[in-house]
Amino acid sequence: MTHVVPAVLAMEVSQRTGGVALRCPDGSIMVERLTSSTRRGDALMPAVESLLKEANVSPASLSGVGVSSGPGGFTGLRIGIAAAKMLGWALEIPVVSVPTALIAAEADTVAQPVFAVALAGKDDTCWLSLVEGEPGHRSLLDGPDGGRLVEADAFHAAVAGATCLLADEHLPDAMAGHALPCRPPDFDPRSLLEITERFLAEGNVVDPLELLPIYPRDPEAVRLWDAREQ
Amino acid sequence: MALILGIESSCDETAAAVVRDGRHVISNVVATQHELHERYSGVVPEIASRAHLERILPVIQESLRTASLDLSDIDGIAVGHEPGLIGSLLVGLGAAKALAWSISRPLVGVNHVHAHLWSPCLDGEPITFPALGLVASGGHTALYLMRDPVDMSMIGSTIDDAVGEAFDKAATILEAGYPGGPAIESLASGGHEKALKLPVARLGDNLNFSYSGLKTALLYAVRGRPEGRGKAVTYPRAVSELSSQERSDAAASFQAAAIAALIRNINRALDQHEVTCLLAGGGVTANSSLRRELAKICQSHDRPLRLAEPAYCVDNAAMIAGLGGALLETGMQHDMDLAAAARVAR
Repeated sequence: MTHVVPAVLAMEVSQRTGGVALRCPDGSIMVERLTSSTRRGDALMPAVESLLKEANVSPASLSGVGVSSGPGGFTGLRIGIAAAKMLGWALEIPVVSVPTALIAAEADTVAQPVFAVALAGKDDTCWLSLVEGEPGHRSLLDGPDGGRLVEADAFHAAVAGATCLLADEHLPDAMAGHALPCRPPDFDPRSLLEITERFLAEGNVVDPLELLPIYPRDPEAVRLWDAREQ
Repeated sequence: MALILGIESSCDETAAAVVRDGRHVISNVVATQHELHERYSGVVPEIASRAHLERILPVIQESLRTASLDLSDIDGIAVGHEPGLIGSLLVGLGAAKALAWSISRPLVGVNHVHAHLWSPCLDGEPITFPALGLVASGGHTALYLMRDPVDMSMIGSTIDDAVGEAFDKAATILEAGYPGGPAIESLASGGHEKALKLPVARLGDNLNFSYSGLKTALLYAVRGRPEGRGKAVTYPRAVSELSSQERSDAAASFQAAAIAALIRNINRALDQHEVTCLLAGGGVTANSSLRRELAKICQSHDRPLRLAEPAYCVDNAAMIAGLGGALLETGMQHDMDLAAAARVAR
């Protein structure tokens, strides 16, 4: 008798690269890598539709959905979070929200005691997360959002305990010069799928009503307004 | 009997509604964001997008709850996908696609401005085409020749500010409050509309509008000619130096000039086109003075006036579901690659 594995969908569209991954009922994983969603058109739901069609999996047979919660690009995050909310509610399946730093660390297969992951760099600040654990069991060290906004002058002290830095091209210049080996992160939807399945098994799920992206900062217009008012 | 769930998120209202057969509103839920934007005297796009994402699911759930329906009862999903604030549109569109795919129902994208033109037939009689349509709102001011639900041609539009945007700016100049439309109407109620001589833009024989000159004329009339430029600009008078009657007079004069520009072009359009009626929608058409003037011009042309009910003048999802139902009825539907668009070519 064939063992049927629960079908789980993972959607990573918080960065310029990402994609969609599906755990098929036969246990295999199907992946469609995507470049970032643009303001002219998003590739998320077309990819989800084609992936499940190719796998011969119906929407109703999904048993869980995972989505990256950022921080990252606003366009992709909104599309991904909006879709995950609706899939969770309409299909009555559990939803898992995964900070993007954890996906990047899980996708990096090199064993490291502690990763530092720097995302959403802007104006001499970045969202810094520390991740520990072996591949397949990595976990975030900082709070529910898994990170904190760090300014350039505090960056070197903040990464002092790490053995490796994952940082993209948005890392502010003022944060360069650290002694850590540095690699670009890979936002692999397969990693998100594996974390999603782990979180589902642990009951680490989120109510679709409460599902929101991680915003490192207030909107820029608000910050400009506040600066003008002061 | 087709039950369509409509979703609207083009600007600062998160809305969902269920409409039967394109006209009969079963539920209409609107979560306004005015309180979030009041401090800035205008909509901040990023604040709007974040709020849409928080509110989209509760609003959809409430629209079904008040309709006493389950999601499985819905026959199709309609979503406003153009024009509007792109970050805001993407929330509603992303939600609509995922919903339609999840429950295997057809998806149809609806033009937000065309939906305003459809709003007068909500809870009313069917439209007999061809019709003349006026959309007057915070983001749009345009006249349309409507041949049917699919074929709507713009025959005139603003070349700068929308009339509702001008009301917002007038409210800022007169420190009347936010949103500007109701604030100016309230302030104007005790004023004399001929107290100030404000311009009605003349753009030749076409049906276009312009409101930037009116806004500037109001500013100069209220605060005097400015000295200096940019951040160093100063005005001889402050609004606080005006009496309450003078503020009301200024509001009434502005409102009369803004409405006169609309009426003049509607008059021309009714002369130029054989239409069965005038349809009017959009937030500014909730203005009592405009509604009176529209009634007069239609009476003078012996054409019926179809005004949107006040609840359907503001941005809402009933108009999206209504027009979406009519479009689905024609066989139109969209795939998962339906895109959002901030602007739409004429």
